[in-house]
Amino acid sequence: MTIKTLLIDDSEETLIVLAIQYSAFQEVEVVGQVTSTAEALKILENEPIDMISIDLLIGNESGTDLAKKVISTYPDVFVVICSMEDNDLEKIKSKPIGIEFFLTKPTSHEDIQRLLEQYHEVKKDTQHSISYSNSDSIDNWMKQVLKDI
Amino acid sequence: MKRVFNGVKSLFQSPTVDQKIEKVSNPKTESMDNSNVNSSLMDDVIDNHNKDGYVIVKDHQIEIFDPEGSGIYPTLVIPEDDRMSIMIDGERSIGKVVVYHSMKIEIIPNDSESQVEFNLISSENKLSLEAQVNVTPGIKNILKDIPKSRNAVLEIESIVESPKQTIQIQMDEKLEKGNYDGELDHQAIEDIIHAESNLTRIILRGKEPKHEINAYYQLFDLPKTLHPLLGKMQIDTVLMGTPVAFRLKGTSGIPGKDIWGKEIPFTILDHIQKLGEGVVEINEKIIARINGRLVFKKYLIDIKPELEVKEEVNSKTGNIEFEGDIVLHSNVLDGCNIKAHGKISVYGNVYSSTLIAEDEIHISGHIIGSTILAGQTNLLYSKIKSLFQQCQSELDKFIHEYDRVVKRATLTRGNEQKIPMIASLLMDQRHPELMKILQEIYSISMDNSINNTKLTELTHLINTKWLGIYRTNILKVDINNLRQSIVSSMEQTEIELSKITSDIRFHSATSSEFRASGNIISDGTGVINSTLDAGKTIVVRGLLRGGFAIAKQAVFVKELGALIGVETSVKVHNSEGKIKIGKRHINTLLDVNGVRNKSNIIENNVIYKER
Repeated sequence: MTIKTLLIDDSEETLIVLAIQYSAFQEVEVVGQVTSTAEALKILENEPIDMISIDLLIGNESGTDLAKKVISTYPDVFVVICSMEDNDLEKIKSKPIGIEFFLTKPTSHEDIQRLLEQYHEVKKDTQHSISYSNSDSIDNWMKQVLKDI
Repeated sequence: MKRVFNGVKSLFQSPTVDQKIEKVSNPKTESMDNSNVNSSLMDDVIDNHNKDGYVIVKDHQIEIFDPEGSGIYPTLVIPEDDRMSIMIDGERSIGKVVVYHSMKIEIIPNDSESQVEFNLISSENKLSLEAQVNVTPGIKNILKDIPKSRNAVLEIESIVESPKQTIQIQMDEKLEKGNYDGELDHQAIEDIIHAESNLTRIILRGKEPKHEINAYYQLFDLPKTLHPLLGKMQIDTVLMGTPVAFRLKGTSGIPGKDIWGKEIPFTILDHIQKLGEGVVEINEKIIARINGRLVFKKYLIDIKPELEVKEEVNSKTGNIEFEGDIVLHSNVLDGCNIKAHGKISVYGNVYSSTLIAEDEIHISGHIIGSTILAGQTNLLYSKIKSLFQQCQSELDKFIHEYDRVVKRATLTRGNEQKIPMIASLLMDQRHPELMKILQEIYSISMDNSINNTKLTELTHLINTKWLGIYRTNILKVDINNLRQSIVSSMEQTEIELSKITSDIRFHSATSSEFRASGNIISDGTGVINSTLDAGKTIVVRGLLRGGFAIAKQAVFVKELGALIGVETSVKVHNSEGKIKIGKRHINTLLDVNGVRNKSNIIENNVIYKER
């Protein structure tokens, strides 16, 4: 199953390049490349989207505001913030509003690869085991497991 | 006794008094603060006939002579100085004090003894013994001599004293105890023994082994022509049976001895290149087995077959995958996938296609909407290296918990049979990340058939012991084997990464992706809305407008961005790296090792570095 991806950036040139980078991964399908919040919301209303990459500044609009809107309206969408402004990105990172991943331009093939790994990590079923949990202390775990083996 | 004058005026007006001043003035007091000079001069004048008291300082002793009759008592000016205390009648005195003969004056200098520390240090390679002597000189503080003076200003002089003790005995003892056996450097020993300040000398040496150098190959002088894309001379296509190189003899090795007389074996330096399938060695000559292009690198000699296509290639002519080099004499049209185990050369344009080569890629024309990858194995190695690093970290955490559980299990009788099952359960339930990484290493290795012996061994180990049914029978020795195999694979991966780099060279490009383990060079008008990722350096001799350029070492661009402010970013990973731009437009970003700069003005001749 492909990861339907929507890209939002006020630079058309950057959109082209991001689309090339995302499309290098077979599992990604770039379903839209838009330059405004309104266009993005319109696509979100009409298309099932798995992942959205939002520029921090979309012209005069705030990428963070759009991200908040997407997170509240479409909680299953994996939200990525992509920015040229490293400092601004740091400020947003400190606010836990539900953004899943941060990319700093220029992005590389490896950056997108890491992003996809994170995507799968978040999406995968975290129910590993009923009996034992990774957060258990090793002492509890070993007591239990040595009893059960 | 009576004072001879009452003021400065009378002092300089009277020739009789002048003569007296010359005779008795204390030269030390002349250096005193200006405000006190005149009064001091007057104070210091002693009329021998009137018998004032006086002080003499000689040989670090203070002698006081009382006045006679109505003569004036002498004074001492004692400085506040940590180097010396002057005790008068049992109490420390500082400043100007009236003194008389019966006072008990005690001089307590704050001297320090000289110290010498001596050590012998053997070098890491056990080939030299270093003697290190650390000298802390002694300080002796004494009072400077003062001739007969009614107002004596004491001055302290510090004399640095050389060490008195000798380290010869210490050295002899240490050399004897250490059982050293090597060539002594007698001059160095002398230097150390007589050192007056800190000194380090190698006093004994072992014998370095002379390494054996294997034979090596040298190229014959083969015919060359100018490569039209690279603009440099290149060896022509080699015909089957042509001798391409010859073997030269190396030198044999001689073992060495360490500083304890133990033999150090020599190593064999393997300078000889591997021979590929396209060549054979006959009578110490390397002969081409097939027609093709010569590969002569520091790790390989081979003849790669060459596939030449004269016509345009497109999706209808089919994808091309070839073991050697591919030379395309025309355009590559939409939807082509071209893969070469050697080089790819295109004398034309490339449209909406993918070109992948293990070696270099050269394109004479324009590239639109395409993906160009050079040094595919190297790019994979980078990925594998990163996985190994993660794997080592996860495995360390795993081993830490495994050891604790096994230790606990062995405390109870009857648990012995449970031990082989612990690793599997631990991995499933507490270390799924490690499992995931092992699976990924296995998949990458299998999917890409990488020719790397250590990686092949690791892949086999992962498959047979860690992914299959045998996972329920894992002991500590298996975990150690896995760890060792990861370390060996990592080492070989690093060697492979360092020796294979492939470049991409092209004229110009639009909306394309370039990834090379070596350099990316655009010789033409420029690169528009593209992404460039180079293991070494990026050179764009024209315009770089829109998109990203990322290199490990350096980026050189003639013109970056555009007048209208097209967003364009350039990044160099290496902290020693640099970005050099002829003309830089607004809305362009430069990043060297995370230190970023965004431009709001047009700039010329920009050199951007981290520091």
